[in-house]
Amino acid sequence: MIEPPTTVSTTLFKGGPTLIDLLLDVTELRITVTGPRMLFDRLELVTTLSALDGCTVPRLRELAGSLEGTIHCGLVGVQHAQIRVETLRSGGSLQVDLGPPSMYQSELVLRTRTGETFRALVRRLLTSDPTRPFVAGLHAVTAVGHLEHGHAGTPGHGGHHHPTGDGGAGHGRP
Amino acid sequence: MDVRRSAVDLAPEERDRFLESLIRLKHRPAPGGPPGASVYDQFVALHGAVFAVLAPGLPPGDTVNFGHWNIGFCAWHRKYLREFEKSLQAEVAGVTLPYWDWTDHVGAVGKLFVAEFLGALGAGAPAPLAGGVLRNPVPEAERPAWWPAGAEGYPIHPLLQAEFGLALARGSDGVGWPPTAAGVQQLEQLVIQQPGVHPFWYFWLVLEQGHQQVTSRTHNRGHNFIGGHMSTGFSPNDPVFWLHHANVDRLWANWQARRLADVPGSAPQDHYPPPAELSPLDGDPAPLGHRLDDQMWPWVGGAPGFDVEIDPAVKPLLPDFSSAPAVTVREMLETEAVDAEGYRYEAPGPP
Repeated sequence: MIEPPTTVSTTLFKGGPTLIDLLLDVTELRITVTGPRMLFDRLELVTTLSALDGCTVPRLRELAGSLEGTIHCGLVGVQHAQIRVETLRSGGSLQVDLGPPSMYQSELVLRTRTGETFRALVRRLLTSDPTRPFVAGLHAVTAVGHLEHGHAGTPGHGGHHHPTGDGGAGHGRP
Repeated sequence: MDVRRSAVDLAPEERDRFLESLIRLKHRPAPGGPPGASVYDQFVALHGAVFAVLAPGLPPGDTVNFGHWNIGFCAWHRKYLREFEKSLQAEVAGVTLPYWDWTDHVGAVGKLFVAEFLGALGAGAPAPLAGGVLRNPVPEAERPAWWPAGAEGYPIHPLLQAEFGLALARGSDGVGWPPTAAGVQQLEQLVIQQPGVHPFWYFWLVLEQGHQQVTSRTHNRGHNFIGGHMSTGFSPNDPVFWLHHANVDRLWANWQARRLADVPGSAPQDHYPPPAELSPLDGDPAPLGHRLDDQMWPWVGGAPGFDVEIDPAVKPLLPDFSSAPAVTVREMLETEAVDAEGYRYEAPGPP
């Protein structure tokens, strides 16, 4: 008997997809991140669900607590990824940290703590109506202040700013 | 014609001659550089500086990365490696850069990442190497016969240590490696056909950054796999850098050769995007230094107006190429014609 896969892998890169489907029938998601904090700043949960559907801040917090993440980066080895819920004027936002800035790459491994698939976990926590169709994914938010010519990002953030101001070392260290 | 071979195919005496050239270059005082800086350190500083070059014609304060994150990645590193190889040959005549064939992981673990060659892969968080000639210092009793007089070890320059200290550091973060042979073969044959889009855009993208539909385990992943200094802008501190990038360069050379064969009558420049073509990734032309006839800093023939945005203390470590002729991307398209001697790659031997 062939067991179903438990892991899905994807890559964030220049020109690549910026939305990662979270309605997956697996318990582990491995995301290779090109230029963490330099090309991509963080991941944010995006969904068509609203608080009226059950996607409330407490439910988002429960979801954050039901996920665990590790960042695999040559600068630091392996460390926990922060998964938190920010409360903004527009509502709650579940965000996943991508670790220290790196010009090369890191790998984020996200797992459900409950053993449920991502699809089952998200459906259980974020919607009161399990039959209602919805979309949920992780949006890779573009970093500002990275060093690529001609792509200055948000005005006032210094599109070509060196993260630490110390030259080459700053391209790879937090 | 220089010939670059797979590192695992080198005989022990060939391996030692390469290591000797590295250690000698690491202790060769930098011409015009500050005390304590070596020619090797100058190459490291250059890699750290290329990320943010101030160039004539750019808006004030704007910088451009001449070496990464766009198509010039391939040509810039080809020139950079060739300059380094020439410097090694000035130390030990006849040495050439070996390449790290990513797909032969058994060979790499058994012959390359061992104390007798580049030292072991790291385990856990980044930490100094525990064995081999790239430690700092190397105990006297463990120095090989070819060890240069006066050398104590393999020191990392204090201004280039990237917070890892004065000894070479590596770490393991458990990322997937190696790529499959099939994935690399697919990369070497990658030709995405889209109207108005040159196939090189996508070949470069996968080669530098990876893509799960071909292989994610390419240049960037290799840096992350080695970890420590290799994960920083000063990655050439780790000599693995040169072997890693020789393989990057080899894959490009293989792709180029395949394209020339597949398109009868074509010339090398036909397999590089036309200068005005817009990137399918961001809708812009390639930045300065990345287009076919652009000069590649620091090889700009001493043209005025260039500077780098880097720690002022690091600037004196940068090598001076102002008296060297300018070099364009176009001039880097054929390995056998990059200079009077040229070079080529020998295919890996049987495992």
